[in-house]
Amino acid sequence: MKNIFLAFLSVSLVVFIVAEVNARGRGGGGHHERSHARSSVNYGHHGNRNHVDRNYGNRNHGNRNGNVNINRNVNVDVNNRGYGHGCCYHDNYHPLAIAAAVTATALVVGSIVNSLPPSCQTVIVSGFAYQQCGSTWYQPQISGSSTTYIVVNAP
Amino acid sequence: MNKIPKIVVAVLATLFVTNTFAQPSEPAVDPATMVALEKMGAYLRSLEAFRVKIITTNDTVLEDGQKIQYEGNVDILAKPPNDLRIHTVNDRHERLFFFDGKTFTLWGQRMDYYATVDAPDTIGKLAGMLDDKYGMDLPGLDLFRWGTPEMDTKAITGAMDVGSAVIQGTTCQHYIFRQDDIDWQVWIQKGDYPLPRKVVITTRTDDARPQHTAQYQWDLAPSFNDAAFTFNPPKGALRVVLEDNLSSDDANE
Repeated sequence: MKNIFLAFLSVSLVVFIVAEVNARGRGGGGHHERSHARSSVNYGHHGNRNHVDRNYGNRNHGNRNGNVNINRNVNVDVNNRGYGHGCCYHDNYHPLAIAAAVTATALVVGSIVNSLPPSCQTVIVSGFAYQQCGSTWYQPQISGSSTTYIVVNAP
Repeated sequence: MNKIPKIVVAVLATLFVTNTFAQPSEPAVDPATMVALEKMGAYLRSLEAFRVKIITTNDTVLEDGQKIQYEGNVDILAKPPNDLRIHTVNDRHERLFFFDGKTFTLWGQRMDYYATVDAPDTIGKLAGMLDDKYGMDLPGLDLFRWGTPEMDTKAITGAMDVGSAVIQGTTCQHYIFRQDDIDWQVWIQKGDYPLPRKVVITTRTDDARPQHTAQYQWDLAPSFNDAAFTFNPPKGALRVVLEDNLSSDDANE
């Protein structure tokens, strides 16, 4: 039980750190953006999707990255822990071991950061560029307004 | 005897309901303004090729309600229905969009990263795909939606003709609209070429009312060759992935 608690603390800390990294990487001196002006009268989408949230955090790339991280990390936590979705507790799950691995690499696969650590090497695999920074691999991804890096397993 | 009052009641109820909803607090929809909007859309759809340079401003609202305005430039070369090249530049990023009816490429010149994906065959469908799969707005989207079935005129709950106005030396008619979460204004060039010359969109879902503005400079006889719409990666450019939207991020877990 104590181990589980420690693991929870460690993973929570990582979640917090990742969220902070994103918040700072976004710039703006800690000022979080709460909304953006909608930039078109029409929607790109063809259907009648509910667009209420469109101008808020979920569509904002800065906040979005933060959310993605948190969701991903929480998912890691939830899946392994077996609560939240009323699912399965994994018998062979060793919380401390996983927490330690997470802490060592600092970033969970699927985390998204706005900038790379120093000393990375560009590696091309199957025509796509990756950045290898020590033992961590990042896949660059671009959108209309940002370039971000998603932590991936070694390709 | 019993049946007549029922009909009368039904008619009276209908009149009451119609009357109640015909006097909303919302501004009325002026039919002539809607006709002007449709004319502009039809004219845009009749263009065989165009180049338009757009100066934009976009407001971002901080947690405390303070607004930041970012200025940007969008340069669109379009040969509908399936050729498009867009160059966007602002303080934070620069992008080139290439679309030739087969593939879509987004190139970030400063980082020299590009992403190429298969695309549907028209600009209209491309806009749909970018929104659905990648959470991305096609720059200048309205120019490709007005005058099409995807243009949602039913969403408009208020439309009014403000009057004559001059935008950068061009005489225009100024119209205002209200629909769902936005109020918006368009200045349409008077005469035989009813082009949008300026658009302002005010988002009403935030008390700070962030705005987007766009001023358009049109070239209806652009010179180009078809190579403009196809991306040939320069030496050193690195292929990366196109960031997908949040829902597919989750789905890919």
